[in-house]
Amino acid sequence: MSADLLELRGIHKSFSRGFRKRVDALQGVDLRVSAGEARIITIAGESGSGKSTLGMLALGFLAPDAGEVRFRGQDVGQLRGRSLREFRRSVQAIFQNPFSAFNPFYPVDHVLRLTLRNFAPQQDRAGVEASISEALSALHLDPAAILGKHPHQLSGGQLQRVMLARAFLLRPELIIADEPVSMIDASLRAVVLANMLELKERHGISQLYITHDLSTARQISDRILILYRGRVVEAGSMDHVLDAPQHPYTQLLIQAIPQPDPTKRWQAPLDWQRGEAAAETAEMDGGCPFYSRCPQRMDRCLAAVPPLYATPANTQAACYLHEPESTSTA
Amino acid sequence: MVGPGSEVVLEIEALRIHYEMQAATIRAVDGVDLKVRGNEVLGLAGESGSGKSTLALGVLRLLRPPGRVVEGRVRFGDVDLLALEERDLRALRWRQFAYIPQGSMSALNPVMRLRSQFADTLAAHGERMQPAAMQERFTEVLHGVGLEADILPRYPHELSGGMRQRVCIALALLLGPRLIIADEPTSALDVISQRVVLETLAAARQAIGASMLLIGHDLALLAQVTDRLGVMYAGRIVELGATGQLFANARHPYTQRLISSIPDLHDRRTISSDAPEAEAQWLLEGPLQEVSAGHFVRPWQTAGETAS
Repeated sequence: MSADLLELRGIHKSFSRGFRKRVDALQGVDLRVSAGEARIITIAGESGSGKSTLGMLALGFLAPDAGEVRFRGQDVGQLRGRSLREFRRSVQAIFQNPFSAFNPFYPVDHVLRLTLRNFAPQQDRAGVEASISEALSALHLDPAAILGKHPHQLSGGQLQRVMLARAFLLRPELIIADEPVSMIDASLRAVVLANMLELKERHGISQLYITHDLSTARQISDRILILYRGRVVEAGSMDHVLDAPQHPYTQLLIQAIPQPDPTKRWQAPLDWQRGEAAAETAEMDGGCPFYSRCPQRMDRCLAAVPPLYATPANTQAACYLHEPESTSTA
Repeated sequence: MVGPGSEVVLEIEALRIHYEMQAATIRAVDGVDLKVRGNEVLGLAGESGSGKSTLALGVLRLLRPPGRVVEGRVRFGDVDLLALEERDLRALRWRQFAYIPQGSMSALNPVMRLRSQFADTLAAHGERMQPAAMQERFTEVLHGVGLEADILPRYPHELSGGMRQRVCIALALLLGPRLIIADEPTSALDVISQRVVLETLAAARQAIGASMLLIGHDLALLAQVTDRLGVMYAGRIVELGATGQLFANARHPYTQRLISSIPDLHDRRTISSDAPEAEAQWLLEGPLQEVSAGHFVRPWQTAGETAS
């Protein structure tokens, strides 16, 4: 029935932290990756927004407290045997720190060979070599310059691209990339991002790009979800959200990004509220999670968490400023 | 508004810092000359391993073995910091120059109330004050960074990361230094706190007329607040000039690459997957040369060209 490759619906996830303390990492998040045309979807948010937890749930590494994660219509938590294996092959992951993803005692080839041994044990030696060369070449890496090298001999950018090659070996349908370029020097980032874009455009691989960095997201993604304290506050096409942000949080976030141009300096201090204790308590009691910092807050925001409303800019924003007129009297 | 003066507050001359280990010697800082002028913000940009943090530690005499200054002078006013006795150095530290290290919010003592940490900072640098005067001084520096004195009885964990970072800035300004050396002061913060903290630091510096050496990897951030900018690569400064000049007319290929690799939030550029240029190395040759007034560039060759 479902045409979705991956669907997360009504996801809640909490972690206990010490005695009787709980952190609500995700509080009712929906996300769909369609099985049709490949897309790169950015999940953006600051630390603690729940973006990495969302990635872990999509990978099936964590189970939701409430809601469901479905892969081709099947509950990921129920997958067993052959279908679980197929899910593991189809959905690959790249993480933040490429330096810790490799065993320092082995050449970087090791992780590529291991992957093939696990997923394609029938391949003979020549087949393995051909697959590896092909995957590295797809990422514009020269096999001769990579194979046989130990991790410390390669740059962070090269290591991350070898991780992309590892994922590409399995011809996945979806790659979940959690901050894949944030530990890589700026001058080498562009190549990794270009690789990601090419995996989508030439090889039809969809990606969830989890990041705090809207500027790099702009370069490669089609859609974006902005998370704040475990909830989606704004969602839409990349260009709509970044060109005309509708949620006060997205607006602040974009204003805070420095422009790489000394002639376009910040003119006035950022207009934001310093979270007062009273306002934060109000949030705890079920109001908008952004209330304490919002420059446009209203009393209305304390009553209940705003749902996602359609905005005039073709995005969805969880803010009462966008509540349709007819229902606002309720 | 008072602009940068011509007086030189800090002068680094031919500084070389090596990490000497059994297997190899790493030349982290390989002959750096740099002047910080009065009331100016000088940015120092570079990627990981460029030597920018080592440079700061060397200047502050906070290097730990195997790091060692092998050559050079660091003049602060008319004293050579590198030749100073530890005791005389302590008299200058904090009073004359302060340091805001990377992730300094975790430098606060977690089991001490903030008031004690402020008082300790005064006492450690030989400043005696009556309790009332002390309270007034604390309130003043906290206001300078947009905080209220009511946080003084609190412990560090009761504050957010951005607030802790502002507390560290307040501590650095406590004795009214002439020079602030800040190494990636906002890199551990989210983007909104980053802007708030950097704006705070810039305003607080301006208010006391101190000079600042601001070290960072984020060129966009440095573009916002620096008067002049130096770019470090492999332990050397490859380009130095007024920030506007450098962004408008970068000469060194490494500077050009750093600037062009900043993704633009407002424009989806076609990004290239051509790697060779991205992995290129430059061999630096000879001293910095002045290409126009105040704009210096170091001659270079690419590694490939010399292989023949």
